[in-house]
Amino acid sequence: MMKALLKVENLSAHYIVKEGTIKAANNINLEIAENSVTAVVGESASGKSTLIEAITMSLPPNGRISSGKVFYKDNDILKSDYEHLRKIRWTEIAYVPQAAQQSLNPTMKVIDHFVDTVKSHNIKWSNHEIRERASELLKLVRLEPGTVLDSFPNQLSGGMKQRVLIALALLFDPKILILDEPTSALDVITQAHIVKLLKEIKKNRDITIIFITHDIAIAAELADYIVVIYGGHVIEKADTIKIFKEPKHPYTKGLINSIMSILSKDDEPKGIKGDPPSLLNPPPGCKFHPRCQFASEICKKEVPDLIKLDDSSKVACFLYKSAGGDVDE
Amino acid sequence: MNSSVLELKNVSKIYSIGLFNKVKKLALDDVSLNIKKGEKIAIIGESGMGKSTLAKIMCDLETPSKGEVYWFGENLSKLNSKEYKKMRIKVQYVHQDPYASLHPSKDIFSILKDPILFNRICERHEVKEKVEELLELVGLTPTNYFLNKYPHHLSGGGRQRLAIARALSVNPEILVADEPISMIDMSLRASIIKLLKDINSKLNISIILILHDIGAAKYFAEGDGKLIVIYGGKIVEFGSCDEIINNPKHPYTRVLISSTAVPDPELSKRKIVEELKSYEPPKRTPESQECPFIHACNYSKDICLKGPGLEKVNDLHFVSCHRYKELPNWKLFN
Ligand SMILES: Nc1ncnc2c1ncn2[C@@H]1O[C@H](COP(=O)(O)OP(=O)(O)O)[C@@H](O)[C@H]1O
Ligand SMILES: Nc1ncnc2c1ncn2[C@@H]1O[C@H](COP(=O)(O)OP(=O)(O)O)[C@@H](O)[C@H]1O
Ligand code: SF4
Ligand SMILES: [Mg+2]
Ligand SMILES: [Mg+2]
Repeated sequence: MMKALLKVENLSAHYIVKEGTIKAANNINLEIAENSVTAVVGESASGKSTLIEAITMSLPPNGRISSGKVFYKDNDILKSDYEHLRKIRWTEIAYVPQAAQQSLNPTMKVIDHFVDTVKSHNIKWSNHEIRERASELLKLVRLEPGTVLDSFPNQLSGGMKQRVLIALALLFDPKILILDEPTSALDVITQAHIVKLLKEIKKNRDITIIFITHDIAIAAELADYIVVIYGGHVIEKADTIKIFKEPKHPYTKGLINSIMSILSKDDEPKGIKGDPPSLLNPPPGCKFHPRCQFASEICKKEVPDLIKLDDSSKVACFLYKSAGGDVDE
Repeated sequence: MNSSVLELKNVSKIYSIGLFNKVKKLALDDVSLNIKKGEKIAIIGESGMGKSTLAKIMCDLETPSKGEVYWFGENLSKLNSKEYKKMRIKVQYVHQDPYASLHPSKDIFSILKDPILFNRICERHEVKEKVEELLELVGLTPTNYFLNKYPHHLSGGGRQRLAIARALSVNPEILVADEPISMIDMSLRASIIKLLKDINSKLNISIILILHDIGAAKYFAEGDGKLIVIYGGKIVEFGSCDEIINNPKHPYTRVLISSTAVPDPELSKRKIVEELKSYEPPKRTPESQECPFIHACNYSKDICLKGPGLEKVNDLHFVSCHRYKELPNWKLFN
């Protein structure tokens, strides 16, 4: 693996609710290589957004980071002061939250969103410069600046708004672009179009992309590395080709087996029995054990560590032993 | 030859919207189709294309602006209320949102028991057995565990199973399911489609399944099922599922197929995804004459200003495109 641009160490975050605490991110470790694309994959409510919000320090008021470190260029950003954080956010780490399309201000034209972003970062660009830069970025995401810049958000379709948000995120040439479910609310064709644009952006710029998706098939198309999350834990990490060729964790296998693709043959998709866990009252031990056909006694009691299998893959499952081979199944 | 259970003849639907209902929107445009007993049909298309409108018209939950709907060979507008009541329960609709469609304060036993009793599907003393049979059929087992649970005890997938059981409780002959998997987790989707396939083959009920995902449509309809592709309120391609997926003729169907992600990182790099002229939905009014895909299509010519009709490619395959014979040979990968 290349040098890590972003490094997450033992990061845990939870929410305080009246019924108790929701442990949505538990002891997460990640290394994001420079100029790579990483997909964070998991089902709904598995803790994907929480992880990203913790990394970018944008958790909602009832969210708390209980422990951990997030190194960006060797500085722990969780320890940095507000000013520093504000500076690197957007200029170095740009983040488009889930359903951000709804957060575009309906009373502001698209161009004003660009102007506003520039002003709020105290960057001295003239209005003319901003318009030029915005036009360039809109063209990059195949939008016609002439009409789009002077449109209000509600005059744009969902796919267009998502592309405006990507353009806006690229405004200061960030090193890292983080996208939470950038294609989930969109139709297949628009989704594929955005995937294609992101591939182009990745190819033509010096940029590292992290994106969240609940659809592992989309990760196959776009990501170099995949991080699989289940019940608030990272359960597998590997490069994309490897994950699809030889998934290790029983959940990852099940998830890949759940895909109904136009390529699936007679070995029909099966899905996984049972339901995803509640994070308010999660099962003890491995969060997947109630659905796992290989579960043994230890799986019901202890949380497996994420262990290294080889240079590019890690798994959290008692079926595997560190740096050893596969345990017979 | 199997008998027709549901037929639409030249059905259009126009919605009036805006101030004083002045704006007319063409949501369905001259749709004709004929569904036979025990058939399996997937209807696919993106959002806003008219799928739900079509599904609701099929189930008489929405009335067509033009055209006729036939159930079991009978024109709905000509039925008297007694005949209608008898047929009504034979056509069941399963809602997209399993969270909104189930009564939250009734337990599972009541949710299934009530329609059975109300429609006198069986004798009172047989009801419990019938309910257990239904739960067994949809995979909510052990049945004893589920009988006195409430919908909120179930996940999205479990609720959708329950909604299907409720639709089946009145012994229908047609089941129309409107995007039943779009709101449930990935790992639970395939099993819901599998359930619908099993119901179709075990009970010989005609199933019309609305989806936006062509992979799921293939899983459901491959082999003996059919596929309808809908765009801008029009059927643009229709026929055997295998035939259409292996040899799509309509430019829209082609993009729909190539846009679905393939779970193979190496193959996906070689996938050919055509760039469209526009990614915006068509704006159709009752006056619209042109092919609904014209604004996005890379093959459009002047002739497309006058909308194409459904043409026969072969006995199993129909397409609505003036230029389908001139399109390049179909291939998904380089
Ligand atoms: N503000 C919040 N307050 C309480 N619980 C929350 C909040 N946000 C998320 N959660 C809970 O945390 C868990 C993880 O949520 P999230 O990170 O949004 O998952 P994902 O993005 O994978 O869908 C879920 O159980 C969710 O209900
Ligand atoms: N009750 C309604 N009133 C006005 N317009 C409607 C109504 N229902 C649907 N439409 C419009 O009709 C078109 C088709 O909608 P719909 O049948 O719901 O499509 P789909 O199910 O394929 O998403 C859309 O443009 C939608 O906005
Ligand atoms: S009829 Fe014309 S515009 Fe319509 S799909 Fe065919 S070529 Fe394209
Ligand atoms: Mg989320
Ligand atoms: Mg719909």
